[in-house]
Amino acid sequence: MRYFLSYLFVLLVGLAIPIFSLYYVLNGKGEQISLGWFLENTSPYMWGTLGIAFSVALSVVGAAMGIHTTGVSIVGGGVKAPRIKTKNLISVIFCEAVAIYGLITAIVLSGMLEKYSEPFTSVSVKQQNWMAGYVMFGAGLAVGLVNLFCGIAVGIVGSGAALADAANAALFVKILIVEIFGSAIGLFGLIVGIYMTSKVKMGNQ
Amino acid sequence: MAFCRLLFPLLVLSVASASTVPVFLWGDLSSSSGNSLKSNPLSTVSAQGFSEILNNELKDDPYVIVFLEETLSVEDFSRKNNEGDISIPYLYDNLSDALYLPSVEDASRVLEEVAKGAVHVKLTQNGLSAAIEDKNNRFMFIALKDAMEGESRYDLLRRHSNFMEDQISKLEKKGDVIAVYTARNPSWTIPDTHSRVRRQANSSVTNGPDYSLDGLRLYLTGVTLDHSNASVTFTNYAGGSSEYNTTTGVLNGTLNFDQGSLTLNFHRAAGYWFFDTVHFVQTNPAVDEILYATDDLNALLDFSYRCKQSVSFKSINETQEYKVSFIDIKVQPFFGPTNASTPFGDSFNCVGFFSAPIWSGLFVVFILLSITFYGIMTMMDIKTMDRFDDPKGKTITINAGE
Repeated sequence: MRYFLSYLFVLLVGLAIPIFSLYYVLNGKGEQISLGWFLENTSPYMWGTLGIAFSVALSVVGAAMGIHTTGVSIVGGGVKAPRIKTKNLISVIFCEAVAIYGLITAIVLSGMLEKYSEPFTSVSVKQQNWMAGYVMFGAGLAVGLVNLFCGIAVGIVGSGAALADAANAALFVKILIVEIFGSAIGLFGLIVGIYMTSKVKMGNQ
Repeated sequence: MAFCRLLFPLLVLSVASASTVPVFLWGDLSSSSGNSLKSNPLSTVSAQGFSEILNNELKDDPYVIVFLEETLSVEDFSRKNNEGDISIPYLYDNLSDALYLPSVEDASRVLEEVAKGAVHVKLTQNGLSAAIEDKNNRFMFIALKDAMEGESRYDLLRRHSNFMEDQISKLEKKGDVIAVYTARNPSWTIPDTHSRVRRQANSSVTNGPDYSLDGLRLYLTGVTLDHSNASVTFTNYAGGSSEYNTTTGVLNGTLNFDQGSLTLNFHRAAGYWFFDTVHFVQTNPAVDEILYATDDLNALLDFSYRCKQSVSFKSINETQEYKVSFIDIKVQPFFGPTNASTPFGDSFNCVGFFSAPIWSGLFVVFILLSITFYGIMTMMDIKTMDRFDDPKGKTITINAGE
């Protein structure tokens, strides 16, 4: 069923977009399809709030998938080897950290969201606000996507670690190193996001 | 009948231009011994014709009594009340020696002319203004002006019928008597169908909406100028001129109005044309301002620009702010020779089909929907682990450590 639906969706989009684009292009009005016009006329509020939403939402999705994967393995392996359960909670903590990165970024970005008043006193004020919107969107999206994949990765590794630990207790510490590297990439996303937001200045000046 | 009183003044006012009234003559008519002139229902008797008829009737010098209603029409003769009684029974009784002309023009005027030495008497609610038997004239006009308030038409006519019967009976000693029953105006008219003639309202702009010049096609509904909180419309277009340079791609079109002249400046660059500025010049008081567009006004080279909302140009000098607004404009500069029949190119509308907020809404909704459907898809994919399920084997028992 899901394949059918996704094929259907792709087919419809693949029909609609060429038809509309060709109408404009063949009537000599191709320049009316303007991404630049869209970017210039949409509100920075939309971009900023979307960035905040993406940062927390995608991070949490990543963390959730990671915890899901590693959690079921710990629980399953713990049936026959109950000693693994306490040690392997560290994998869950690594996944959770990813969610916390996303939350921190969202809070920082929310603090930068400011109101501006519409008849702009100068062009530079408008440019500042527009750039703030785009930067917030980019930062939020970056952090969110990075944490999404980091969480999935840490979860799969943690699952493997739990099952290996259940089979042979000596393996756990080595697999934990793999997990630490996986977690580091989440931190990269956080660093980039925080660094970008230092350029954000919304408001009336 | 009940709304007679209401209709009365309305109908009296809606008199047709050629108003005709019926005339009923009876008595000792000269033609009654062989009524050669019967009533003629199909044509209107002109005033001239009626005058001839009257002279014919009156050649024996009878005593003529004329009862003049305020209004009378053919319909009144056949009017009946709820019980079916006719309104003027006296005339019905006298049909045999009567001359009925259902449509006579200017009957009362002709009667006045023909009547020599006529006496005019009025019948009001207080009775006759003078007794008629005492006079020695041959013509008597009785104006029946005794309409009572709230009285139906039927009652009025019935009363008049009785009155006429009374009066005629008193006149037997006068010899030949001819009685005439008529009125000054018809009481029921078919109103002329008013056909509306559509007239062009005088447009204060003599040239109408098409202000095309050589090299520029321009349609406008109006131009207004806002200055120091006063708004004035440009009127009395007095022609215009244009100059263009095809190589440099510049076009200036000048429109001259009563209130000043507007020069529209266009230029061409990179496959587009741009409407940059409007130069407003006024002589009294002296104004010479260059006004800049508030929104970018441009279109591709072979396309026109169309905006039903107003397009305005403002001055940057803020002490004396001038704002010229073009209302309902469609403009295309050609940078080459044109005439009034050069067609416009396809138009760029100032209001697009999808506006930016619509696009951003669609964008966000698309994101949310994709998240929703992804979530539903994953939830449907959750399966319990059944690798170790064995319906026939024994269930796992776990010794829970104390």
